[in-house]
Amino acid sequence: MSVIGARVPKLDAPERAGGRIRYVHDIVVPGMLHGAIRRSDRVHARILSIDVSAARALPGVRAVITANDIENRPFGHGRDNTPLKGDRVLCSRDEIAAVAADTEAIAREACRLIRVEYEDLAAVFSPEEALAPGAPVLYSHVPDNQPFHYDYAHGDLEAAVAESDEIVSDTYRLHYVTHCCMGTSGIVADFSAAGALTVHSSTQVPHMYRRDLAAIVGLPPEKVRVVQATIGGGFGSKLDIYPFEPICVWLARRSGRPVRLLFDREEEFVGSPTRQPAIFHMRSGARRDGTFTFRDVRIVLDNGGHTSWGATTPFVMMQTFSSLYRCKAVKVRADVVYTNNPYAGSFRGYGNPQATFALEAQVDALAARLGIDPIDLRLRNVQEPGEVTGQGMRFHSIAHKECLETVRERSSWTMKRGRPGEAHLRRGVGVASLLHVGGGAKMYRTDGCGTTLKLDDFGIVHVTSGSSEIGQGSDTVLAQCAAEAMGVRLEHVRVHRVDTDLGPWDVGVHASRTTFIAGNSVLMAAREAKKKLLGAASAQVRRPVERLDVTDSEIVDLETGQAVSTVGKVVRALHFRERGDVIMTSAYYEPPSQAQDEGYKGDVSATYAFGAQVAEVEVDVETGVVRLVRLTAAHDVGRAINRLGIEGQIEGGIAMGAGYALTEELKVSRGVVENPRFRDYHLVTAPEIPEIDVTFVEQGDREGPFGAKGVGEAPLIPVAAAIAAAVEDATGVRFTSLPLTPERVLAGLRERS
Amino acid sequence: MDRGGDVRSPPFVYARPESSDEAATAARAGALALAGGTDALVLLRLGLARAQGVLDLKPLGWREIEVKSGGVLELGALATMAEIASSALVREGVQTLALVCGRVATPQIRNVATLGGNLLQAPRCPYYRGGFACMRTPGGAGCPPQDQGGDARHLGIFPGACVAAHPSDVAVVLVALGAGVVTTRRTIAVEELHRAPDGPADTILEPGELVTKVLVPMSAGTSAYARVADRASFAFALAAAAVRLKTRQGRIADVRIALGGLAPRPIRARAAEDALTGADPADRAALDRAADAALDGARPLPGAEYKLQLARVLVVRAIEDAARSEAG
Repeated sequence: MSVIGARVPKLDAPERAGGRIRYVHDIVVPGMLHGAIRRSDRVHARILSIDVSAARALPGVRAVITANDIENRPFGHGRDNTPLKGDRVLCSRDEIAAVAADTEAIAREACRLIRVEYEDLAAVFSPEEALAPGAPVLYSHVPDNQPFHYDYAHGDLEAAVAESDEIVSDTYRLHYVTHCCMGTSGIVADFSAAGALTVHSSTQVPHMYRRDLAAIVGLPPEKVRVVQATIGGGFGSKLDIYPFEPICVWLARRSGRPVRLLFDREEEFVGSPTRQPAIFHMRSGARRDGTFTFRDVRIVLDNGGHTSWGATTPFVMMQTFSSLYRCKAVKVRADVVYTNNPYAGSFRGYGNPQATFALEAQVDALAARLGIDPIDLRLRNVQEPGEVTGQGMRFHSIAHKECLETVRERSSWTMKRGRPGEAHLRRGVGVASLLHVGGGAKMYRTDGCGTTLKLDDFGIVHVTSGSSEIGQGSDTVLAQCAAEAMGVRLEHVRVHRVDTDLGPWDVGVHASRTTFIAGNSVLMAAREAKKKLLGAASAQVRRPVERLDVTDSEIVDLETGQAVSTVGKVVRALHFRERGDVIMTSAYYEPPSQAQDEGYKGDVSATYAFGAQVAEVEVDVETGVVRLVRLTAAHDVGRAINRLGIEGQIEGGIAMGAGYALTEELKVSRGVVENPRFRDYHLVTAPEIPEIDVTFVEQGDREGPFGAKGVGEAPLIPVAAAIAAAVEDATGVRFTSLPLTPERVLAGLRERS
Repeated sequence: MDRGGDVRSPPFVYARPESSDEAATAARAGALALAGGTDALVLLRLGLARAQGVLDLKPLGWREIEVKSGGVLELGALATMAEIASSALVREGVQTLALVCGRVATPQIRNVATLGGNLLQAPRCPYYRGGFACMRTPGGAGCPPQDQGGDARHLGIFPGACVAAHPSDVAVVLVALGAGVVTTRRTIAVEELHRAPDGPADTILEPGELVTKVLVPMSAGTSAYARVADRASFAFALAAAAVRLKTRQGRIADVRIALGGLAPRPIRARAAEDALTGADPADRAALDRAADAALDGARPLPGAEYKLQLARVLVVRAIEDAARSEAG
């Protein structure tokens, strides 16, 4: 192995850093108009009238649409969203009208000129309010305001409760945060004269998006082509389809011109999804020796006014509750509740940071009751390779134990734990673990990914993967996989962007699946191409194929060690002859995983990723300021393919997790986002990034490409839980909600004393 | 990328004055003075400043940093935060000022933001900047968080018509240092520059009056600044305290205390100063009494109560820091 495990800078880094990459914001189509959306001024109201006459009259306006002007088909996971709202708005981001105009400024001004008359309706702003007797009903066909429920159970809960020596119980409330992608959402819609639609989109799931978009706008899917623009950050925010996308298509249709619609920053905060806020009412038990006995969880999710992927996060939450540790009996009930708040989508970790925050708090509470060190207690309950969990997940490879032992050692845990000191700056360390899918997730009937590979006449390997680069570095990893499998130089591999006409099928970037699934798919295509290449070389250089190999883009005679041809030369010779041929291969990789049964049981991923992190904090008990000093992480990555890339993923995840724990909060008051700007929504900045110590535990996974597991989401998942644990070690207070702002910390300290 | 101009904008004049008289005339006529532009241009874009044009002050110079006779440090109003932070004269003469200027916002902003602009920046109140009409917005009235309720976490805690928190760290330090500003018309103590607003204005400057320099006495004792913010860079102080003091025979002989982040202007805490004079800086109870005196009269809106605790702690810490540097 040569390039596997190396430190390879992202292949597109020069283009990104040099400002040459074309994001959707840079795409200009001749004749293009600019779109803008008029959103609701109310959180729950009947729309009495919409007057667009002033907007239409503004010079430069080319099309104005409302729900009456389009076929307004319902869509989304709950079929409760439409592109434009005609009779009622249910949350502050709701779209009422849209404009296409000669410039973006004219389009936005025209939106301001649209007059909407409302009749306010009674609104609800929390799940508790929505569940109270006599609460306003948001959708008449859902009279209890609960569109979805999840019920999971394994083991005999009553018996397990009965055999528990210690039982802890608490409630955890997790807040709204949002993705803050540097590249805001955007789309360009362009119809051909014959009525075929091309969209340049920032979606993370181009193939499924094609079908969904076609259905929403009433086009046959075969007339829709989705070209994925370079994405300036996804993190799950571009996993669902949102109203602005069909709206832009309708604007293009109505105006007869291509239309580009871009969110500005404020609109990105208001009109794109959030992380799912969550409430966990939870009990856990253990025997005196530390063996976990049961876990009983009721989850309440604020669904907002429409449904996006946030409503499906219990799928992932329950995996952590059921299977992060061995536990005889686990019951999880999740109720998803409509409110007039913004709605949540998928966001890196997909519910897992929230679930891990609650679960790990209970593990620490049990440790304190039992008088067992928190890391020891976790080690007593970790699984071994080969185990099958209560939920039916099969852990072929699992390095959870090694991760815990590594962070204990590298964080100086034993020396630092339980020594807060007496000064106003108290120190503490806390630990948290994680379990997440690492080999895809069979949430659809397929979890597959296709690859086509072409070897050109100068020896360049062109890989077209169904999967996509959204900034996570997958193009680089896929190029490494192809280079390694074929024996060509890394700089001789090009990975091409997705286009649904040219690229093979894939289910999209989610579930940390791209390295594992697309990587395996690329390996299959590359191995096949190498076989064809060596077959052709063998005939050309008149040596048996077994004697030949490809090294450094040259054909090498294994007996002499001499180069006898080059990859380019072999391909050219294949072209320039009678009955010539090309070297093009394709492959489709479907992971050996199962869809869940009706009780949510099944081995949904081909492998699982584990990890453990120790946070070290300093808490100023007089001001409530929490500083994350150090984060020690050990991740079961199977095998690192791009060491530099995976370090970046882990460091980025830690920064994002630190923001979730300490500074970030999308403030939603009576349904309205109060801080839709970076001045008031505080991401962490360079001084808040702690000293980071990362260890990769590389035991190799039997199914992963070169043994790798997916770890895109993993590093974020335990950060907030570990920080809360460290703050508890420093202060004696376990905070059950976030972020740990000075006032929250001061209030918690005061309550305790 | 052409995203089109603002369709509502009338023709806009950009002027470069040759002299301070010319500048004053243009400013009186309603042009918006432009120095670093890190706030003025944002206010224009948000519609919070209305002007027929901008008056670029840069041709006037006004950025020298010099030590004058009598131990006065003179700083041009157009000196940037970065220039002040890295000036050997400031670092040696008034170290706290150099440190605070070196921590304002971000490096990019410090490279263009000026001293005068920092002192005169508009409120960072989330309501004022978030599209709410109030007494300080053009044509507005009232104070939304006081009239309608809402998140007060970033607001001041002293009662008044406006409860914004003044954003400048530098102004707080200058009040504690007893600094003055020189304008095109007069010299004013920095602590007199700002006033409790009952309308758009929060300074006593008259139309067309431009700040040209800041004078900082260097002789008097040691100083310190303490602040708490949501993060270490690029966040305005939730609360802050600046102290300058002199001791004589182990007792506080002379002290000036200023508070930031708690009112629409930097506050001089005279009651606290009185309480401290003659006290032993190591006497924690005396410092606590001074901190209480500094916050006498504060009445935080719901959600801002935590600022009382922050401010008390910061006053004590700033006094202790200043006393420690004097001892050392």
